[in-house]
Amino acid sequence: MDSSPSQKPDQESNTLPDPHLSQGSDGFRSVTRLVVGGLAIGLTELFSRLSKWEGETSQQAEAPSKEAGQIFTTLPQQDQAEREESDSQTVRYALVGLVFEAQDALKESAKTLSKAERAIFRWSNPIIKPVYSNRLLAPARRRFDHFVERGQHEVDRWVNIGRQEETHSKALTLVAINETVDDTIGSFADNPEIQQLITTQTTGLVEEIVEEVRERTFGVDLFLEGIIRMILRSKPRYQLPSPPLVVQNRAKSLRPVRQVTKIKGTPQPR
Amino acid sequence: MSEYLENYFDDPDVQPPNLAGHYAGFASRAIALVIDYLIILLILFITAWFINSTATLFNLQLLNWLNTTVIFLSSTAFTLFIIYIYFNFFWFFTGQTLGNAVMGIRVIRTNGKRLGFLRGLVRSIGYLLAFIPLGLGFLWVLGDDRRQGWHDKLAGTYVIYAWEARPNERFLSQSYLSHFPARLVKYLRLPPQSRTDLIEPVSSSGTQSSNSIG
Repeated sequence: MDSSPSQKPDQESNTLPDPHLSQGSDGFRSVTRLVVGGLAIGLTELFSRLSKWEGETSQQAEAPSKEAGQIFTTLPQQDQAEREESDSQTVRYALVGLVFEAQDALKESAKTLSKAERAIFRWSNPIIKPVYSNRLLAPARRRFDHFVERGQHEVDRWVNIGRQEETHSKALTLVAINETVDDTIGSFADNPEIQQLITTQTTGLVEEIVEEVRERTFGVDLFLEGIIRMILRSKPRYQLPSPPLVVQNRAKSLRPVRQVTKIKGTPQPR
Repeated sequence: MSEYLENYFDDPDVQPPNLAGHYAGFASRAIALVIDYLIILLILFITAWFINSTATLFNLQLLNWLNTTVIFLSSTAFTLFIIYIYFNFFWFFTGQTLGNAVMGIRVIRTNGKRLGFLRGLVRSIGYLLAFIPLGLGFLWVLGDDRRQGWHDKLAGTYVIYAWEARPNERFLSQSYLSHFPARLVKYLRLPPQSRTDLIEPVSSSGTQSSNSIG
């Protein structure tokens, strides 16, 4: 919709005065622009995506992909033929076929109509031309030409307005889309529940990674030391005494824990 | 405990011991040190950039004013100062530098107290001494019974695991260990869980704490 031919009118619109835009933007006009812009952008996107999907489908049909995780795979022809179709499926296929057939028929009808129009013009022109060029009908012809000229001028004006308005409507729609997306993201970002969810998940992921690194490094600690102690023929680590308790108690906190300890199975001190 | 040591290679249900508070090994300490030095490098880079930007802003020609020797000496002194401040700040207040915190290890004195700034200075100098003979002072951790490097011995410190140190499950699996010689497997055995598994911390009010170390 917004192809290269629109560039020239855009340049023109920069030079020409813009009577409609200068009329201000009341609510109804803005809504109209939004609808027009939405339709223009939506249709452009729809057609571009449709053509892309069509291309991909064609490629897939020519060379069926066997990649893992692919959602749509082309069924082998033999399997397809072997599949038994139910009545409802047959009716559905018939309806789908009818839709496409009707589309093709419409296209053919349009072509036929166009041919008929040209043929009628060819046949009727020799008959109408003497009447049209008759001097007696000159005043009527001038009035008719003037009427046609006015109509053409009016249509040209509409086209000009349409070009300007479509550009403006697209810009307005893009602004509306961007602002809506920004507002949506902003509301997500401001939502404390979502913030908490993201934070919790991120923290959880980091914790898991750190835990994994520590565990693996702990294994490497034992492995390297095991090799060295084996070479040096010193005692294995499990035969060595553990660190003093006062040292072990600092594992969780550097500050001494204000607590008393009891040996399992002995009465708890009161 | 001895029952555990005999069975933990064979019985899949036996949980590996929690070695929190035990001496930390070479790899954990080395990675923590690398992380710390990367952070220090970042600090030095930012500082150098700031000094350079300030000099450029005021149109100062520092390199013309100072000769090369002075620049080298002042840069070295500044770097050592930053290293000293970085390590000692964290050792004194938390016992863990940022690298240590990531790797879950902690530096403490042999009597369980925190490091003072003087002892931290001795340990920092110990780093240099340990590094000079091709890092032999650091590699000493691998063979020492208490996993102390030269700098630890000099300053009287231990480095311990500050997390519930357990190896990766794959490390303990029989199939994985079967790739190693039986003699090495004997040396790869985990040390016994400390006696803290027999001791439950009890708060002063008499209720048992769930934050047990063992």
